[in-house]
Amino acid sequence: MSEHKPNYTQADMMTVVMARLLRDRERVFHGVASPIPMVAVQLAKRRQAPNLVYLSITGAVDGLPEAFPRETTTDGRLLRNTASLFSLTEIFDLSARGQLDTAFLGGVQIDQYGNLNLSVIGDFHKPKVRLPGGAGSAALLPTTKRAILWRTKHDPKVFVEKLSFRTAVGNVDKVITPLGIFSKEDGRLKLWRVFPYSSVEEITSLTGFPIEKSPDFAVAKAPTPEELAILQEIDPNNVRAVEF
Amino acid sequence: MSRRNSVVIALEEAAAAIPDGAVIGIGGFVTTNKPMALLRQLMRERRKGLTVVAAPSGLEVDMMIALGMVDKLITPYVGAEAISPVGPFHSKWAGRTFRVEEVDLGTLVTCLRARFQGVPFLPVMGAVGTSLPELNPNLKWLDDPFGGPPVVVAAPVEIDVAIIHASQADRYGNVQHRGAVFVDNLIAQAANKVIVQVEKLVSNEEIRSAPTETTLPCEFVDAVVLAPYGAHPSASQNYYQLDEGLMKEYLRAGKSFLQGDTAPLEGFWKKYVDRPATHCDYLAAVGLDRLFGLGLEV
Repeated sequence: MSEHKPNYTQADMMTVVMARLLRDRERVFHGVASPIPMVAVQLAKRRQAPNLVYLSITGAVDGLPEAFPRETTTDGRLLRNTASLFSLTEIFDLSARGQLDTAFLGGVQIDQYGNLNLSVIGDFHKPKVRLPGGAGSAALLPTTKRAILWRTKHDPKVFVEKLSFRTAVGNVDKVITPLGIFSKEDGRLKLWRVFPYSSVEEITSLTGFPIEKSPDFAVAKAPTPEELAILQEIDPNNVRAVEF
Repeated sequence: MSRRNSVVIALEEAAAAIPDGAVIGIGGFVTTNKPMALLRQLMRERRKGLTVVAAPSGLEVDMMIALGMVDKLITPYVGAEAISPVGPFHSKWAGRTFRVEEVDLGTLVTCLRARFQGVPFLPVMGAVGTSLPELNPNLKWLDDPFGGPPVVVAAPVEIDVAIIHASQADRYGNVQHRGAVFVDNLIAQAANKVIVQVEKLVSNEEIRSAPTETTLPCEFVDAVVLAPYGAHPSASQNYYQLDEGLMKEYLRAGKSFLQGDTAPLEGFWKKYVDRPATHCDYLAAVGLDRLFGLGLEV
């Protein structure tokens, strides 16, 4: 743990590590309610991935919003400066035939295998709580080449031993939380990165399944001044923090 | 010379085409392009026993649940994104006042395509290993006749009436979305009758001047309703943004109701659904200052 208060927020950290995971030339998609991916994609395009093809839920291809909407990622502002429009159904086709490189997805509950629950807490037919629903996850998670999950809360209610319901199962690669990153290796989520302001002990105490370190475990590099400067430039309204 | 008929009708006439117990398809996407004017008319008339097939939904479906209008819900999502991750009544009353047919968007798209193509089923990529096939009666396992691994197949979903919000249309039902279509085209193609509400009526010449921008051609559209600001409080792409304040007003009233204080929600229905007799009365109840304040600047 650093003695000094870092000059960046958890939202900055999550956005920056998400952007670093993106590669040049890949096809990347994000769906509804996805503020951090929306900003991370633009950060990656400004740095290591200028040729990344960005597909948003609005159907924009390489849209470049003048500013990011705060409350929604389905808004027409995401269509600004788009090169073309695709039909949403084509995303499922693209993914089904194995040509979607990266999809960003989330889960209300996530288990140690990277399976997601977005459907119910409790019994399906008489749930304690009905959750929003799986949106596109059940079809995209098993068919995209890789999925990057994110969740802005890290606690044992999110990272659970057992899901109430399996909404989506599939090709999870990384799971980004406010404290670190899990990597799916040999079928299980292993702790791959811890953020500079957190610790393995903190993550262990806040995770509902046993923590095993990845062979590539390391402390993540804090956001650089360059990354923070671009973030400030592209997202001056701090939309990346709305989920916190 | 005989003259081509207009398909433009009044909101009340459009709503009359949707009886109790109908299967309705709702277009738009979460907090954008929801056909609220048509839905509010159905709310005003307290349509009952509806099966709702919807693209990812916002609070409109939650409102219909709160008013006891929904028997069965087939939608991949109900929520209001950063404003509220869940709808209060959808979250608490599922399995009690209405049934849920668990579905994800990829599967729903396949079910709609099966209907559109007129085939008995289509394979779904995905959903394998999830809880979906055992819960959704529209999904079955099938041996691949070509020798591959077993596949999940989806049956067609048939919609009686699709209701959609779009930017503009001509009097013959050629519709243009100035922005994303989402899955409106599929919902229209899977429906037996299609009603589209629009921000603006334009001339047939204007449509013909930009035919590639026509998103729903007249062959799919049975009726057009003029409803400026008709998506409010959801956003209408390239016209106005969502009304966060009004959504929060509903969410607060809904939460109070579930905690036993029914007055705020009763007040909400009175103010926004029951007292305004027409769509224009609704807009007046919301207020022009407020509506015009939902411009597109960020």
